[in-house]
Amino acid sequence: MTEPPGVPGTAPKGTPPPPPPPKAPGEARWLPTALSLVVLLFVSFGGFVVAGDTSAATQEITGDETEPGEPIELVPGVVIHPPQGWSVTRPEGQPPSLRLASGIAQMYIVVSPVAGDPVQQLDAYLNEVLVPQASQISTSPAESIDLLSGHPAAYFAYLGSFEGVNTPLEGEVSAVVAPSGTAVVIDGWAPEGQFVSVQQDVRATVLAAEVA
Amino acid sequence: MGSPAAPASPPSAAPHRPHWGYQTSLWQIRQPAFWLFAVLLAVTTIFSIIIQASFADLTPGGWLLSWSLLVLYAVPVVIAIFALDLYEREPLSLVIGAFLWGAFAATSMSIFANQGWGLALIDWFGIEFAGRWAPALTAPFTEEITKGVGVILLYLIARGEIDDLMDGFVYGAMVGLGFTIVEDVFYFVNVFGGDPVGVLQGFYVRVIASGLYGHVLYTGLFGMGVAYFVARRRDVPVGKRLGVAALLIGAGIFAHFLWNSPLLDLYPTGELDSVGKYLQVILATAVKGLPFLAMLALMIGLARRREHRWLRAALATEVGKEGLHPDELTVLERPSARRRSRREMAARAGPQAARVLKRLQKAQINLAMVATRVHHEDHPDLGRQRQYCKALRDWLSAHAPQGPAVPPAAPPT
Repeated sequence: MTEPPGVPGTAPKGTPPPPPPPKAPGEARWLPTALSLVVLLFVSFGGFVVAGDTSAATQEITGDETEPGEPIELVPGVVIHPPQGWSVTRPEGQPPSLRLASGIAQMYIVVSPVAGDPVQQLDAYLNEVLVPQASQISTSPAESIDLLSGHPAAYFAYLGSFEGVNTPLEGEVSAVVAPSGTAVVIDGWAPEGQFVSVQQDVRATVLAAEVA
Repeated sequence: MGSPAAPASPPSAAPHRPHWGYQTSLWQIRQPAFWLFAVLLAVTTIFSIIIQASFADLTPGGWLLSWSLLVLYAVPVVIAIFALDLYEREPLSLVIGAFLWGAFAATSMSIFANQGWGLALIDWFGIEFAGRWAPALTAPFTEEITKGVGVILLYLIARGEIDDLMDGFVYGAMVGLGFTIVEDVFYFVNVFGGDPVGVLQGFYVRVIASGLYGHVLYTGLFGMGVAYFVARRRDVPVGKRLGVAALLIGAGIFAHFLWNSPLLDLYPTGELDSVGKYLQVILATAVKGLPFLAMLALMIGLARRREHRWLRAALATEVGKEGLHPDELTVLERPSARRRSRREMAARAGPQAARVLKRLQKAQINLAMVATRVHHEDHPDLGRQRQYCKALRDWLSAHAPQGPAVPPAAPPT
């Protein structure tokens, strides 16, 4: 059987190269391009302007670690450096704790009342604090964190539905344990899909925490 | 006083010849839209890579598994999108550009946008309302706009490439596919836990149960809206074009809103720990997504009918010449008839003959492309393409017993 026509190199391959079109390509269009840019800028950052919180957008754009706010001594030997722009409240009662808030994100920082290494601290926080409030929760495996201080530390990520909150929350819980046995747990969270925008602040708070 | 004998407008049943033969690449350096597209894509790609690196750092195995599964999902979706675009294949650089815009630019800008407008909602309505409605009142608008502007920029870069609804669907769907893949990686790693079981569960919920109803659908509708507005200038008044475009774009946004809203929420509560709950996920997603999928299918059907008419218009002067016989045009117009003719050819004369018939059919579609590009019937390009079609047909006549297969005129009664 002979080869069919069109075998490469013996016949035209499909459509020949196109000649120039009958008219020159359309003129450059500046106005719709500029309008597109304006729309994208408004959609991407307009919410921050409307909400009066442009610093949040700047943090995300630069990706820089935020300047820490005034250090706060939670208990003797435990100092927390809140990220800039986060409001801080100190709830009454025991164990000693701080609540930080920035827009829709929050952090809960508590001196752990139980003893144990970071993974045990995380297990205790998960079982004693998160699980009782959650109707559904999934967590990642605990991973260790390298701190400049050399203190042992670990964290896990979670996603769950919580009583009294109508949208799923996602966050990270970290535990830092000093050689003295003092342990601090830092839980940062935000509504599902929003946590990524404050994740850096939460991690910076963990890295900057002084636990002795 | 009436105007004397105004020229009659052409009948609407005879569509203009499409400009299928012209192909424009993404690299239009004289277009400001190209530079805006390129700069935004470059900046957001760096931002996305940083985020992906953090995911890979968090759970390397889960991150790899997520990408592997999503590539498996993307391949058939890309094939389906191209299969729906019957005749005019879009330039690869533009299609890849659309995918990258959705994957990197739209996802990155949406992170800022959702966060910012979420804060604004809290400012306006308080944390309780925002907690319940923020996903429905932010993402459908911010994400559809950031994705849709990508389609508009592609149009501004290569205006000749969006000349029908199907073109808008292809670019919109590719933007949506890029977006959904990167977003799914985020969900698999951050929301479903990132371990293999969580990733597989996420794949079930977001791809198997909902893959037909997500961003490919929303942005496909958005792209069709853009395409209707820009491609029907010559035959539809501006008011109607605006109305239809708004309807299609609005349908995409509304579908996304309904998906994210607490309305019609049949999703199972608690852990997915039984077969019943897994089946309930399919029901819950179908209730919210199926009506819009049906609408998209209807629009694609209408667009394909129009493409059939365009093919006929493009080949009107070629039928009966050596490149195309009338019975071949009947087969060429219907993909199912083309497939059937190739199957019959394979059964009668073997697989090689079927492959040659496929080449003949592709060459005849290319004949339509060339016919829309040249200005007179004696153009050498057109002559070469006719000769090529004839050569393929002659080969089939010599090697297949009955020449090119023709489908039966009517099913037996």
